[in-house]
Amino acid sequence: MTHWSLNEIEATSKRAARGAGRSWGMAEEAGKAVRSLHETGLPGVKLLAALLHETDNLAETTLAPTRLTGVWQAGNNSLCPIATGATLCDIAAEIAAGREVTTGPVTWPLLVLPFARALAGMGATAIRLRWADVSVDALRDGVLLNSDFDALFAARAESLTCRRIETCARASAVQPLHNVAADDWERLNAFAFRTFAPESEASRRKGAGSSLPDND
Amino acid sequence: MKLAAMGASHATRLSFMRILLRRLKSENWRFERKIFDFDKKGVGTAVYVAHGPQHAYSLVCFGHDLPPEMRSDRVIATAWDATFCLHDGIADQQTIERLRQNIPLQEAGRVLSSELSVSRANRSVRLFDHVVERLAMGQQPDIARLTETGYLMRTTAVYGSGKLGAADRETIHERAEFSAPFQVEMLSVYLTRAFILDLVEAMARKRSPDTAVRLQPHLRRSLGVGNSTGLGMAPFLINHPALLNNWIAAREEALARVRNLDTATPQQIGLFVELLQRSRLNAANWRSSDGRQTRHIAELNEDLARLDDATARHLLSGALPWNALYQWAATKLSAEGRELVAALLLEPHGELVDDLAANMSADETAGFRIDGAITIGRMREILENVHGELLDQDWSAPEANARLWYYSEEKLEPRLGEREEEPLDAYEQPLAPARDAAHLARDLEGEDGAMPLAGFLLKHPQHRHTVRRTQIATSLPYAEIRDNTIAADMLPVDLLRCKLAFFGAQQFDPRSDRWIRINMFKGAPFPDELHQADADFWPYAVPETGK
Repeated sequence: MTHWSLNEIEATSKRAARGAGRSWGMAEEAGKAVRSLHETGLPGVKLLAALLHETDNLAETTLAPTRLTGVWQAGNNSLCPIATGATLCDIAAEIAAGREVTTGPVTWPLLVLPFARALAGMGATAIRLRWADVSVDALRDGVLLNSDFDALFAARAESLTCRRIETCARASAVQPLHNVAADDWERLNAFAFRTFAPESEASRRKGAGSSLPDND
Repeated sequence: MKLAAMGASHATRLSFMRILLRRLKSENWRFERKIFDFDKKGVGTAVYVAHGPQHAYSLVCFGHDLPPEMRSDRVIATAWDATFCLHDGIADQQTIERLRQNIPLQEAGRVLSSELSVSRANRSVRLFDHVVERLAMGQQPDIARLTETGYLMRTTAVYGSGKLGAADRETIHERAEFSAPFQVEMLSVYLTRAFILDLVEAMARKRSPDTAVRLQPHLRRSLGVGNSTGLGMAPFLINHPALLNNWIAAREEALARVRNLDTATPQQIGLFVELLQRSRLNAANWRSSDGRQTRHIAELNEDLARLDDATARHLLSGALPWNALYQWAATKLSAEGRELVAALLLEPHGELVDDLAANMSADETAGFRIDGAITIGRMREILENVHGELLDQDWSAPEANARLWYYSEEKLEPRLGEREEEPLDAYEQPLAPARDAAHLARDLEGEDGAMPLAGFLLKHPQHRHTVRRTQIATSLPYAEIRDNTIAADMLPVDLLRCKLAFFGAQQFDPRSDRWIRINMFKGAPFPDELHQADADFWPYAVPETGK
């Protein structure tokens, strides 16, 4: 286990998503989502590493809902939880107005939770996510789990629902999770590393722009 | 906001070093040199503690014996003359030993949430050795040489905000002393300056205990901390649009308040003229090895001759006096001169403008969520409002799309590449907002303007980043640089200078189009002088007193 700051966790997650083929904007969503999970004590790095491994270099339009109306489906694949969550936030006004969104199959559904937290800060009191036997309530400042902890970490859910709820108990304070298992970090970092360009001697000299002595 | 104007930025009283020192003085901070143990080569350990009203902070310093061939300001260096860490609280022996295992390694080490910054510095060798030698002999150093360089050590990186495992800014930003931007980093550098001066005097004493003297106080004061900054810092302002907006907005609001004043009091005019005189000394002592900057400094010196004391007094004698001076500068002076006059205008008006320091921080996450409910037609309008004519530029022209920003595998640091010369497109960072906005506008063209943006984003996720930052810029007028950040002729040093001016840096000395040396805290009172010294106008040189 190594201690990482939340800024490092977010930055590496963003780069990793980009390295796995996501657009910059979606990679930013991944970074914020993983950070949000770690803020609430949940192992986001592990989940994102697994998601990126499964969806490596797939076109992201094949992992996102094909349309905003009806039950959200992703063509031939299961939905990406990051694309699903980001789209839920894009239609925050509809969800705050009471729309319940139902999806088809979605991988690593816990990665949708950070977006539910964001929605709770955008006009709704709280947001309830349900999949399989899991029910989680997201508030702006925390989450309330109404079911078995281990069930949160399902690799896939056949369906997920997201809706506003009127009242909710208060979330208890949790410590942020700064420690990440070395192999999870390495898996994520391997994706992130793909965003860095290999160096030629010419670019090394020119790119950093050193032309005068710097040791005087 | 254009890059060229950003490249002429000057520090103001809203710069972060100025904000820090005003606070340290007004809150009566107490400073303590808890540990100081060095040999004659400068190898050893020091701990400086700053005691504030609620919290104490320790700068833990390690001095090293660095072989000359390893001394480099570039980020690829692996060893330094001195390394530092700002620890949250009073560092105990166990903490110091833990830091000793990590801080000298810099990027190769790790710290914890109890640490706030990690930094390093190299000696300006010729001046450093000269000062130690002279002091050891019981003499003061050569003033011309002190003036020429202006510092004894240069920091080459000051890492804060969660780097290397350190505390996330979000966990400390509610402390009053860290509410303004970069106060952790500025506090670290301020204490580092005290360490550097203590170190040269201690090395002189070790070398020759019987003859060594201390540096005279006014010479001590004249030395700042150098800094060498390269491309690592350049993308920052593009990556923090809300923060950039708040910095510029605070400065613009301060200027607007002063320019709206009906009158100038004799005291205000007196202070303005005094600082104008002291600015002439600053400009006369400003040296650069860069041809373009040297020309700009020459123009500034001419500007300051044109704005003589009588002209200033005359301009300040009528209605809306500060506005008259501002308008005069706008038509009569160079970019350097205009920016300096803008900074000077704020000086006599601390009571009117200093409260704006509280608005200069930003929560970048506040604008993160995209409003996908707006129509595609509305999104087109927003793009037009934010980027205007840049949308119509020919972005396929080689000179418009000449460069790209990327991170190198070697040091994980930003670089600027030539698109035509190297196959780097796949690694391009999203640091060309105007070009990306033009591409978004093009793809929005064929769409039904009445449809919601959220549906467009499902089909075009590649525009998600640009949609986000353009929506941020809708409510924050200075969030976006209105210029081409990948043009063939763009100068990265313009971005660096803007950021460093907001820090409070002086004596900008570009060393190429993409790295720059500066001086920090030059003229500032030292921690032990703060209670009795002026903590406000220290950046303005004091005429030779002969003392």
